[in-house]
Amino acid sequence: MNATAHAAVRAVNDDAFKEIAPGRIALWWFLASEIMVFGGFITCYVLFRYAHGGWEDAARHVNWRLGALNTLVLLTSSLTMILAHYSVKAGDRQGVKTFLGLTIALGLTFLIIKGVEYHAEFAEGFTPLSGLFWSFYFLMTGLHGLHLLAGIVINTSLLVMALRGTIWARGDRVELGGLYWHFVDVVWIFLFPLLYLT
Amino acid sequence: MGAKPLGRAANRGQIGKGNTEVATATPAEIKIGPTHEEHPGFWRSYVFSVDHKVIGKQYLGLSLFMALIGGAAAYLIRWQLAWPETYVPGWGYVEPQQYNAIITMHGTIMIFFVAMPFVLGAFGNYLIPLMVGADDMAFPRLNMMSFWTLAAGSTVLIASFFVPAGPAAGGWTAYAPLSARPIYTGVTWGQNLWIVAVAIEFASFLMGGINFLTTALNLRAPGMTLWRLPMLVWMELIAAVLFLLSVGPLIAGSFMLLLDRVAGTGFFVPDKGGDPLLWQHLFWFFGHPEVYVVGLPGFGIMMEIIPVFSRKPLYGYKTIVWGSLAAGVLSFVVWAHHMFVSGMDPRLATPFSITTILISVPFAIMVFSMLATLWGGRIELTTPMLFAVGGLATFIIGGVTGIFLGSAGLDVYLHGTYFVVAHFHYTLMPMVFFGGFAGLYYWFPKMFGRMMNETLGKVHFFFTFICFNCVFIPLFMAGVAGNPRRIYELSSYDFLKPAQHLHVIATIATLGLLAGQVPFVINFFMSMWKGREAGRNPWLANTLEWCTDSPPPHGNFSEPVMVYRDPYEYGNPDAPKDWMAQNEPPAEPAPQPQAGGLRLKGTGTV
Amino acid sequence: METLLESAATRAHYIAIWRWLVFFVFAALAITLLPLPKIVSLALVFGIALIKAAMVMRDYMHLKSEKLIIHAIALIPILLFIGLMLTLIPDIALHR
Repeated sequence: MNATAHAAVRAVNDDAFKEIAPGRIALWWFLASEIMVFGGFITCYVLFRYAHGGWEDAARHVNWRLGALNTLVLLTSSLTMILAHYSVKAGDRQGVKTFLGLTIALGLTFLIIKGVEYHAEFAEGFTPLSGLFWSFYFLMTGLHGLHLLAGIVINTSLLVMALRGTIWARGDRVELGGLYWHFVDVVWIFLFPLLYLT
Repeated sequence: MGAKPLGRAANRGQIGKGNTEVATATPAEIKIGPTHEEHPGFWRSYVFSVDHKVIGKQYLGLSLFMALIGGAAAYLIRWQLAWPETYVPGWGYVEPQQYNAIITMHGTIMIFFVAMPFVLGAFGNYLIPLMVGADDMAFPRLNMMSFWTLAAGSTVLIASFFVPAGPAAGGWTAYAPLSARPIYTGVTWGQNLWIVAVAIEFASFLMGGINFLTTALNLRAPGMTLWRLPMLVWMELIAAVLFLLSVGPLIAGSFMLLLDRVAGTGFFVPDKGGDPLLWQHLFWFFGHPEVYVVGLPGFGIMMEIIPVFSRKPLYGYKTIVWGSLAAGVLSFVVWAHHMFVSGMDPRLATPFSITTILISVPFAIMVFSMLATLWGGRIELTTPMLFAVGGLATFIIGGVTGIFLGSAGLDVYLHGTYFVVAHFHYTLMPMVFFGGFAGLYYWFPKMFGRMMNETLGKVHFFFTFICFNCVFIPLFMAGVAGNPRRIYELSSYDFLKPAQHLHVIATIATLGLLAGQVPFVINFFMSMWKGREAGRNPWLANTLEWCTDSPPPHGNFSEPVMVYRDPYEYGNPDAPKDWMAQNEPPAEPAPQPQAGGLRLKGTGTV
Repeated sequence: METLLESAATRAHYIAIWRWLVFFVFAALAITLLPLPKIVSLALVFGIALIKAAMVMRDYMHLKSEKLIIHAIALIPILLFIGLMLTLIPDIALHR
């Protein structure tokens, strides 16, 4: 290959996409599709809520105190998740384990509080069949909970990798797991006012 | 930045870039992925393979198998419409309930389980890594999972044939409330399984689409800029983005529909406060981009084939890319033209009419670019070329009738008739089957190392082309005459009796169309073992897949690939030969040293 | 590589963002308790949610240091579903 050809190849080779790690760009595409799924739910909910009067009365029965507590739990878990990512970058082996463990614990706390809420609502007689508001409430929070559960599973696998010491070769996985975790947090940031505060 | 190392190792090695800086990882520690085992064994090689070429063939096999079921459904539908309530050879009598189920399954199978695995799954998987010069998909294991997820979805759908009360019978669009309550169609588990199967299919193609996007954006060989991508890769990319961005609301909707059925919620049930129209909106918000998801790859295949057999560069490369991107954007704002007769707010009709007529512009650009590519070329009517050109010709009829249907006033009359049936078959058949068969005849030598038989191929083409037109031109006429679609027995209406002969013609042609596929099946299997050895580049084509062995080895390219030129440099009078492969280095330091010196005029704008 | 000082600053920044997020949760709750007109309170509560989400995405999800393409991937679906919502208002929300 001659020098001209070399130069031609190099000149045209650097475009923006190739500098983004494949895992990260793929995860963002995945999040884009997730935004459309939750966006679909939120669209339906907002339109129906606008169309029907009387949802305020139903919405008054959800427990905003527990909802707010859960918001704080999830926001804090986002902090511990980003600190886990930070620990990977800083080479802090103990920090990764601690913060991943804390993130998992906070995630589980969120699910437990959500379970307590569900239990109280069922005890009061509010089920997914008690009207459209409740159908949306249980569907959206339920799916969000499933996403969180998936995040917990991912973080647990990361924690196992951290305990075995294998995570250092694939440190980007903590960032990718974190991106997903923060996304689940962002979804909740919108679900909380939609379902609890209006 | 210095010259990059090549292939997968290079891309894995770049993990440390940007804000994913991992202090302790060196490229040597990073595993290169599971693709390059020495002796993977039978299961790993053919069933749970992570090789994109094997997975592409698996998609191909699955789609052709499902096409058999979809084709059999077409046979039953057509027989019933031509000779109502007579004995259908090989089946028996078609009951009214069965008719609804068969028509639903025909649509569902053909769109979700034939068209998508065929033009996206098979060609996308097989060709994207080869065409961009990568050794495999970005995520080979995810790729394997996409296929097996789709296989699971197909299994669920086929299982729904065998549950009590039969498969779904609410149409392939599953309009609520028809689909939301079992009492309306009499179908219980069939519809639930339908929702589950389609949702699994969505999950499969979401994974697949993300893989396509990452592969085509990140794993391109050095020199393979975006503007040097073969058109098929562009089309698969745009299709993947459209699918990814449009399917979300329908996934949400399918959760809601499933809950309406199994839990008794009322999202789409009017007497519980729900809104059936919302389902139609969610469905078509996905459904229209979906038309382009299955359509654009077929166009991409034609655009690969037409320059090769005209020995001319593809006319207007950049214009086609921008045009198809514009079509992609517009496809998100045309969905309500499927709903002009649904009782939606009439104020939505005018804007959606306008966008619908607008979207014909980018498609006209693509069609005219292909015609301009043919113009003055040295045209060689091989079987792939026949299918590509035949598909182009038939698509034009589908596209033009789409403009009729796009105007809301006319659509109110035509929407419930066979005109619409003929229209969407005229758009989907050319893009999926003509495009798909063209691609199959064209890349068969690459996939299996042997040529397909030209005589049988031409018999297949002429049977398919003539019979296809004889099926659906009468249906246009029947539609204009007012024949309503989705009706079990047309002959029970006196005013439709004068048009009954059109249905008889269409059905006889359908039998011919189905029989015309027999030469293809024979050809396919015969050529696989007995065909002429193909060699690396039987068509003298430029794109990268032709510069490796047929079939390509594990890892695709035995030596690193460098790309120096555009994909369609055919018939350049200044060049030493008729075709210039993309990886062919410039022969000499050119007299004029500009890098663009060898670019062809045909790649400019229209 | 980051210097030690920079990395300490990064860590402090993450914690500062978290403090703001917590503050905004309480701010949103306070707004719902104030006797404001419904529309004002809704606008404020969702405005705060937007700010919170933007902070998480910008700082925790690193959008701040991402390339344009990633911004586009995140933004386009958001615009799409908002467009869907607005288009469907006459049909679904004002239907009855």
